[in-house]
Amino acid sequence: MLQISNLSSGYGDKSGYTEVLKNFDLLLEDGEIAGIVGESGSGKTTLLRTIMGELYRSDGDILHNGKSIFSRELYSEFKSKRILVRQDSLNILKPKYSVEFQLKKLYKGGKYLREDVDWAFMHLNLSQDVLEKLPAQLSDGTRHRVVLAMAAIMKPEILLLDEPTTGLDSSSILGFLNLLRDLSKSTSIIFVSSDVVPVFQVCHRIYVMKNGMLLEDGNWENLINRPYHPYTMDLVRYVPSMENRNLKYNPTDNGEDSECVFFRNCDHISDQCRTIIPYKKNGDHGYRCIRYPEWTHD
Amino acid sequence: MIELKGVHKYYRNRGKGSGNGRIYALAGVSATFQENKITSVMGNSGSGKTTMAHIISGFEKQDSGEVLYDGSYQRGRLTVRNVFQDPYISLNPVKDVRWHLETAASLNNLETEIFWENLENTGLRKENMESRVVGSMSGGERQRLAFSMAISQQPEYLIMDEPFSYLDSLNMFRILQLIKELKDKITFIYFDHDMNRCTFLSDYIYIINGGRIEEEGEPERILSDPVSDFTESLLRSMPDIHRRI
Repeated sequence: MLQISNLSSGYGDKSGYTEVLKNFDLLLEDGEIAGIVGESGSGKTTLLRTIMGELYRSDGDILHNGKSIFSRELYSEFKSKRILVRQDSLNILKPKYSVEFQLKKLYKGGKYLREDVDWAFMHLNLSQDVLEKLPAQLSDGTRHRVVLAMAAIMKPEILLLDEPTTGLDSSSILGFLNLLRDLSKSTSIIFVSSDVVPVFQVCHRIYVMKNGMLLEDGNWENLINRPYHPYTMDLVRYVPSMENRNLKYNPTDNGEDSECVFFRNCDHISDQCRTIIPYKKNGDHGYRCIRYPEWTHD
Repeated sequence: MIELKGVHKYYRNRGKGSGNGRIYALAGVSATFQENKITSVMGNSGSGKTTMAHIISGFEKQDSGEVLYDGSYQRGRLTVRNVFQDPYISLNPVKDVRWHLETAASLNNLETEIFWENLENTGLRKENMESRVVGSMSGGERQRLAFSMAISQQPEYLIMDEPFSYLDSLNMFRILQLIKELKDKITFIYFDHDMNRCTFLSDYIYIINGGRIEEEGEPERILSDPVSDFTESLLRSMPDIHRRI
């Protein structure tokens, strides 16, 4: 179980610091996949890098099975248990060694488990001859999938994925999502993506972010059918597809920004939106909108 | 109108056990791109999409077959612009957005205003972007900048090879909608691996696999009544926000 509470972090150190992530909360139960969606600049990557311990943290804590991952004694222990697959991870492959050699290295002298490799390769649509190849002989898409396979084979306790489906074609995405489902039995996964579709297809709990703020979290059904924040409603409604061919997206421009990060483009503003907006909970459905539930009747 | 007739393109394979040493990227591709229509070419990675985009743009030459621009081998005065998946190729990482737009405007003898207006149409705000250096921008912001600069130059044809891969869903929707609004002015040729985006956007779709056109037609027909087995398998793996895995 992974529990993030009231986490604020950003770039810099005590002397000069730009806060990006503001008071973020997340609860990831064993066997579940958490998804984080939002546009670029919403703080998704910052969150993952904070979990990796790479950034300055001004407030909050992250507990893994009840223990803080930032505690000095446990630092090295947790370091080996979490993996972040970055957006440009396809470049971590070493150019001079074959894919199979690099996979064997992951076992650090332990027994090379061919079943694990076959399992990951099968899901990711990778053929066996990829094993003998050097990275330069593979296309970007294939290298990307090899790196995803490596992350899965390592079976870390916490797996953080930053835009893992970018550049993958639909059949590879489907295989990858099935792989995540399999892997989630033993690994806590956080899946960050600016494409809402794969996240909504596989994640148990979805977090919607904008400008470093958490705007809403809930399970798939609630977020699709009963969103509490107008931004979430736009996100799940305006998805390119044949059915939506004649749908028009014309966001309002209210001409100014306010405490609510969605104020500028929101159709449902009132004066209340200019105050500091608390994050509220309705059962396990959280939201940061002062106009809920009134706006749903507008 | 741009036409491809029986276009072949192969690469020499220098690897071990490579037979006669030819790998076909395109094996007899014929396609027509009608004016003021949005035509998509949809295919998985390695299907020959990018090679096809390069041949239409004239960056690569076909080994056999014909490419006709309004019936002629020469492109003549037909203006064709490109937007690539990685916009770094066409942008200068150490210069800011203002420099890019002003330079592009003066080179094309156009008003800078048009460039700013189109940038805002992609969802980026002038006051936030003006002094941003391209190197500090996110992938999605760079892709929108490159796209807005391409449409501002008002080419007759715009060829786009997976141009919005780093964009979030909402901004993707907004830009695809913008393309549809512009199709009376610019003929778009769009390459992508995502069937949802292709059917949302286009008037006509070519599905390419292994360097061959598997199927072509209007999106409604392809979705409701696919002819090829390959298309059927694509439709089965189509991402759908309402379908859980």
